[in-house]
Amino acid sequence: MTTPAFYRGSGLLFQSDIALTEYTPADASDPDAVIETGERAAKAAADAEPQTWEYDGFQASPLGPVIIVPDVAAYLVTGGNRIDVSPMPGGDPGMVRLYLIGSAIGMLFHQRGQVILHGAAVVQSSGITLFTGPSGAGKSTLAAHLAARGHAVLGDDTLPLDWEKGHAPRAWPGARVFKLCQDAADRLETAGQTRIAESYEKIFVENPCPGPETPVPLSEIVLLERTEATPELTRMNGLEAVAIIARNTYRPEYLRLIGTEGRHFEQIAALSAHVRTYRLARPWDAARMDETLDLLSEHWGAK
Amino acid sequence: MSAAPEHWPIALRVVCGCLVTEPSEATLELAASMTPAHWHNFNHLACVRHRVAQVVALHVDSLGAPPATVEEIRRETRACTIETLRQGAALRELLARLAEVDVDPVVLKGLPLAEHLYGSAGNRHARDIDILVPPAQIGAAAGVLEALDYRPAPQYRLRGRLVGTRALAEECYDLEFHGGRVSLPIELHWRTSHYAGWPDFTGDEKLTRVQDTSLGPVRVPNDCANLVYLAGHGSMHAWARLKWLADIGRLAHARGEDGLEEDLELSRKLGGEAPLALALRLSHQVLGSPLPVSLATRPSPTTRLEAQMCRVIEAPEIAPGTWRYKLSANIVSLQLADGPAQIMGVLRYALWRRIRLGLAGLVSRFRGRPALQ
Repeated sequence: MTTPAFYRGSGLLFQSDIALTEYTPADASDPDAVIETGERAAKAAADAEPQTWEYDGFQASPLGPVIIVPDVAAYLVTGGNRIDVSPMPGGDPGMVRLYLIGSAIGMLFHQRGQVILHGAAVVQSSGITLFTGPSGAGKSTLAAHLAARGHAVLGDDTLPLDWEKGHAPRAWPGARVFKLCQDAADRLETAGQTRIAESYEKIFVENPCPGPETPVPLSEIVLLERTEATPELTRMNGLEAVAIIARNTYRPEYLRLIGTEGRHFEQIAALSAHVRTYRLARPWDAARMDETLDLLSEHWGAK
Repeated sequence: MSAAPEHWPIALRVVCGCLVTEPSEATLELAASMTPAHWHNFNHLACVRHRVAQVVALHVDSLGAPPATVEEIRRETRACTIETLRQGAALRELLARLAEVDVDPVVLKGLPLAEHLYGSAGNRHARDIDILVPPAQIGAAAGVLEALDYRPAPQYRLRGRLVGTRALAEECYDLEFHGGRVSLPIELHWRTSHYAGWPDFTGDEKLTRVQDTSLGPVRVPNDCANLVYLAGHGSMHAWARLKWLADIGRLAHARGEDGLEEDLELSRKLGGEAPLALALRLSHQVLGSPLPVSLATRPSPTTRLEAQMCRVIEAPEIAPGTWRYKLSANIVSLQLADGPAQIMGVLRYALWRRIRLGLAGLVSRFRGRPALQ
C-alpha cells in the first residue's frame, strides 16, 4: 500500500497525492486532512441535485458539498478533513492545484469552524497585519514589497485563524509563494518565478520571508483603498470593523452552504474586539509604492 | 492535404492531423467523412495504440466527433490528468530529496516537456518519471529513491544489486524503480542512450537549461539537446508510437527551420545526426512539421528506413518487450550508427551486456554485496 506526500501549511498537516506547491513538504505523520484524486468528486457532481444552491459552481450531493469549476475540476469537501478531487477532462493540472489551494481548502477551513479571511498577511513587531480589499487592490503586490523590506509574509490570499476562546486570534505560516501579475513580479526583480498555468495570467513568486514556524497573533486589519493624494491611514470604529471583517471573510457563501452563518457572525463580532481595523488610502501608481511603505513603517514603529 | 501518407487508414490520418498544429481544412474534411467504425478506430489509435488522447482531445469538438468518441477521449484524458497530478507530487518530492544530497538531476520528457510543448502537463501522456544524473551520482540517487520506498522493478532486480559497480554504469543506461508514495515508475538514467558512444549530454550544463514549471524551476535538456535525445529515444523504439513523433514535430515547429539547422550542426558534432535527420524527415512526412533546407534539398539516405518506420506506425498493434521488437530496434540503431564506435555500442548492448551483468551479479552475490531489493 502506498501513501501520498505530506505538506504543512496554515497550521495543518495535509496528506495529498497532488503537489501542494504553496505549502512546505513535511514528514509522514497522522494528517489533519487528506486530499485524494479519483472519480469520487466527479460521481458526487454527477449525482448532485441541479440548482441546489443559488451560487454558481456549488452543488449539494449525497456525499457532501461539491465545488465545480468548469473545465478544471470538481472538489468534494467533507468533514473538515477530506478533499476528493476529480479533474475535468482536459483540466490543466496547474489550475486544478490553484483551485484546490484556494476554494477547496477554504471550504475545508470553514467546515472546521475556523474563521478564514481574504487578504495578505504580513508580520510586524506587534503581530500580523492583514491587508484586505477587493480583487486587484494590490494586496499581493504590497505584501511582496514588504517582504522585500524584510517583513515575514504568512500568505497573500487567505488567512485561516486558529482561535481558542479566551485567547487572541492567531495564524500559522502558510504560503511559500505569492501569486502576482507578471509585471508586478518583474518590477520586484524576484527570483524563483513559477508558472501556474498557461491560461492564467498570474504566476507564483517565491516568498522570500515565509515567516516563523510558530503561530503569530493577528493584531490589525487594513482595508486597502485608492487615492491619488498622499497615503493616509485612518482607524475604523467597531461597527465598520465588523462590516469589513464580514465582507472580507473568504467565500462567505460557503457558510450558508454548510449552515454556519450564525456562528460565524458571532466569531467576527468577537474578532473585531480583538483587532484594530484601519483604512489605508494609497496611490496605485507603482512608482509611489515607497510612500505607502514608509507610512506603514512609521505606523508600526509608533506602536 | 493532410500530411500523413494518403494510403494510411483515414482515422490514423485524422489523428496525425491533430498532433502538431490545429487541424487543417483537409483534416476536417477527412473527419467529416468518417463512419462510426472509423471513429471507433480513431479512439483506439488515440487512447491505446499511440497514446495521444490528451492532445487529440483538444480538437475533438472541431473535428465533429460523435458523442461516444468525445466521451471516451474525455474519460481517458481525465485518467491521464489524475496520473499527471500524482506524478507532479512525486517529482516535486523527489527533486527536493535529491537536492538535500546535492544531486541536481536533468528531468527528461514528462511534465516539463509537456508544459513546454503542449501548454499543460495534462496534454501529454507520461507513464513514468525520467531523471538523468551523472554516473558518479547513481548510488546517491538510488539511495534517495529507496528512502522514498521505491524499489527496482522486478525485471531490474539484477541491476538493483549492481548499483555502485562499473558493470552497471558501463553496460546499462537506466534503472527502473516502482512503488514510492504514489506507486508509479521512476526511471533513473545516467546516460541518454542505451548505447555507449552515442550522443550524451549527461553532466554537460551547456546542453541543459532551467525551466520554470508549475512545480518550480526544473533542469531540463535545452531544445537542441532534447531533439537529439528524443530522436535517439524514438529510434530505439522504432517510432512505434505517434506520441514520440509528436514531440519531435512540436519541437521542430518551436525551433523553426533556422533553429533546426543549428540543431543538425550540433547533432553532427555529437555524432547523432542520422537519428535526428530521420526523426525530422518522419515528422515532416507524417505530421507536416518543418524540414530544414539542408535536409529538404538532398536525397534522404534513409528512405527505406523511413518507409519501414511508417509501416511500424501504421501497424494496428505493437509488441514492445518481445524479442522481435527489441531486435528490430537494435537493427534500426545499427543502421543509424555514426562510425565503428557507435556500431560497437549497439553490438555491445545487444550481445555483451547480459553476459557482463550476469557475471557481475555472480561476483556481487559471492561477495555478499548489499542490494536494493
